[in-house]
Amino acid sequence: MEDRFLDIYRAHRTPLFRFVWRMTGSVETAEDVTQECFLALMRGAAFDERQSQLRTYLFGVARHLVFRRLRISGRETDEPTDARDTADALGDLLSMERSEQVRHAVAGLPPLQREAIILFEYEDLPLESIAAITGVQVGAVKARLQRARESLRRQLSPLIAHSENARSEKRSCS
Amino acid sequence: MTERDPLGEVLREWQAVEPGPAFDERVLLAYRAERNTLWHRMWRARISVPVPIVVLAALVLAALVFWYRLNITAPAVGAGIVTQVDSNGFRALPNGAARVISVRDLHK
Repeated sequence: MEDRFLDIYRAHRTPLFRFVWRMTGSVETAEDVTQECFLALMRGAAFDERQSQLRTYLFGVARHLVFRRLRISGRETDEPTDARDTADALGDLLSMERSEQVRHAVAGLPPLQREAIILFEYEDLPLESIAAITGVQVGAVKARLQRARESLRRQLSPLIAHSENARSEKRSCS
Repeated sequence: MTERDPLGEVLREWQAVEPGPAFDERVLLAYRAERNTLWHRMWRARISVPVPIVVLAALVLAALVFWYRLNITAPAVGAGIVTQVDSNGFRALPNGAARVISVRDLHK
């Protein structure tokens, strides 16, 4: 039984952890919520294999716990990222700065838009799965994504322009 | 060929942290603790029952016992055999004088 649990855990822990971390910006919360998701599964929380995939179900539980924490805290967590996060980026300050700008822009989105963009852009989930996780129609997910992308384009326009310039320079050199 | 998305490329510059081995250990310990808790919970499980239900169940049980005792039947006695157990006028018979007679002989 433990082996079965560990198989499921290993297959799903990283996407779940990443999702919660990106939603809350807190490693501690990501660890707590990820653990709680798997324990909920073990306790036999309502999961119907015929109705949904396990990943969709786990993301749904994680989402529920994240939004509950956001409601309790009354604000979105904006604590500094963990040392593990920055350690890898120390060699490249510029990259870290760009990464921080993106993080800040995504963190500034309203929670429902943030959730949609994280699941779509970072977890590569199809629209149908996102709709199942968030409990809305695909059309609503598309609308949230659209609004999130517009907002991010505005906020990250300097980064996008810089990235485009670098690309065209590279192309002209070669 | 898919269309290039400059926003998507920029977004992917934000790398996520990964859960470490210490976290795996923590989840495993939590899993084992939870599994043990489930066993303990099962053995120590209690249910609360309203007092009227308990009283009703006791009355039904008492009624069943009473009904069962009323319906105990005496063992069947074969035809022609009369048993009389009465100590009035009892006289001990000398050895060998006791004999079994049928009801017909008795009426004769």
